[in-house]
Amino acid sequence: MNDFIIQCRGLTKNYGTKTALEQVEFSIGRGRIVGLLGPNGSGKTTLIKLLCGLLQPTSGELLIDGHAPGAYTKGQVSYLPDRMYIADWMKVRDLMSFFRDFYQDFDGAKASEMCQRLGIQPRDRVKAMSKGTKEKLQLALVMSRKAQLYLLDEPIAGVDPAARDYIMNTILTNYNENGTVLISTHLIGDVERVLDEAMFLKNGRMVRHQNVDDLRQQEGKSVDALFREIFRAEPFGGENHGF
Amino acid sequence: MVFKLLKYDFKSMLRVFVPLWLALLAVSAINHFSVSATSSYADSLIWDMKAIAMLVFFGLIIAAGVLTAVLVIQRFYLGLLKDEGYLMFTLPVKPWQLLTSKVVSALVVCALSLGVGVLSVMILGYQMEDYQRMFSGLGTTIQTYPESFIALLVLGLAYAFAAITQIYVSLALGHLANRYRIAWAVGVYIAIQTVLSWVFTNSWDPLRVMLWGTSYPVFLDVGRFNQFLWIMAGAYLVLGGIFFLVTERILSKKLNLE
Repeated sequence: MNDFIIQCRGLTKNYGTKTALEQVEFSIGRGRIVGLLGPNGSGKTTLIKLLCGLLQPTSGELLIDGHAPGAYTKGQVSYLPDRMYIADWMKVRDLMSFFRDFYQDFDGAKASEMCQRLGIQPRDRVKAMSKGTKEKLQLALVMSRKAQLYLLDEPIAGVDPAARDYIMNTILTNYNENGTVLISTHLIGDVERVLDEAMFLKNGRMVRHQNVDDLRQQEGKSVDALFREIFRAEPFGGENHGF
Repeated sequence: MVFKLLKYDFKSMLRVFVPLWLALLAVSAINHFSVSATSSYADSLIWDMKAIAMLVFFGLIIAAGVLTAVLVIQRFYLGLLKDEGYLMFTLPVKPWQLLTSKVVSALVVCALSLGVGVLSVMILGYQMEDYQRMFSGLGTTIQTYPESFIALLVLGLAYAFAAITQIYVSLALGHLANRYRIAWAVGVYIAIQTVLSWVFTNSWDPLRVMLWGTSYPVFLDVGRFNQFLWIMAGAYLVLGGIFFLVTERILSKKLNLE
């Protein structure tokens, strides 16, 4: 078994003439909770899509558990995208059977229990659910896998504080402890307390990747405060207004 | 893995088709009885009902045809190139397996739709003696020309394969654009169709002269007719194979989900 679940060397991704990621280098070990932090448009989603094989790199190397992204790595990765990806014609029991069919590490009993707690019945149709319930169902399915790597793309964006707590608790109480969780977000305050490592992406470049405790000690401030410092934007109209 | 994928592709398609097929068969049975009702009691109300029933029947036939085409396109487009693609392309399967499942399920549903269409027309005009004569005639023809029958079946399958993969490759190529993807896909489809029509029209006469040394009509000679069927089947298989490969390469290397 490889020591690192993710190894990334000189990773570059261009969309036409626009560079989304440039010469990104990092490695992540097993059993870690890592925050992928950066403002909108910094390349977080692109990096996650490359990790789960939805995109191909323009150049550089990317290995998951020592393998290039492909059918094997997809079996090791549990991915929560920043959108609804489940077919709305399905019933909950169809989804359970779908995940059971394709993922050997899917724990159907755990998923059923999580659904039951949410008041979701096996015969419920996805189409008839509210947006919030669909998101929770998707999270339950993703976290019911005993994956080696969880890639969670903005899991707490656009939800109220109570839902954020639910989502964070679901992640923390259900992930495989030998696996690694990579959470992309720009809402640092809500995730900081659980992070082992933080990676800062700025304009497609990895500007910092460090153990969170070391980072706090070294900088004498929280990750949230450091984030605000690194990504502070000059307000329109600038200093003249004196706010 | 392809069988597991097929299970879900069939489920997503059949949930729409089965009710439609059953409705079609039921309406054709109702029409059969209303058409064969004796006209001695026929008054304007009965005639109106017959006309409405026939209208519903032909409406359903057209709906079944259109829906088949729409669903084949929709299951590929929504299932792989829109949001559902985020799930399908992160499954531990290879893109060619996803594509094979789409092609096979589309082929089966098209064949079943055709079968139900034929069956409903047969129910509509049900006459035991006529069908006995027709099937016995068909059996004799197949026994007399078995190679032509097999070649026709293979040609039908090859044509359907090429037609379905032509739609898929157009959608996949259209999806490489960053805007107006559907418009691009329609444009690509028309362009491919235009090129194919030109190639088929202009290559047939030289090919006929090359094969048989004459442009003598193939349909007057069983041997040549069979050769013609096999050549066409081969051409459609090769064409479908090329469309399949190009689509698979795009899905593997150039996937461009929003």
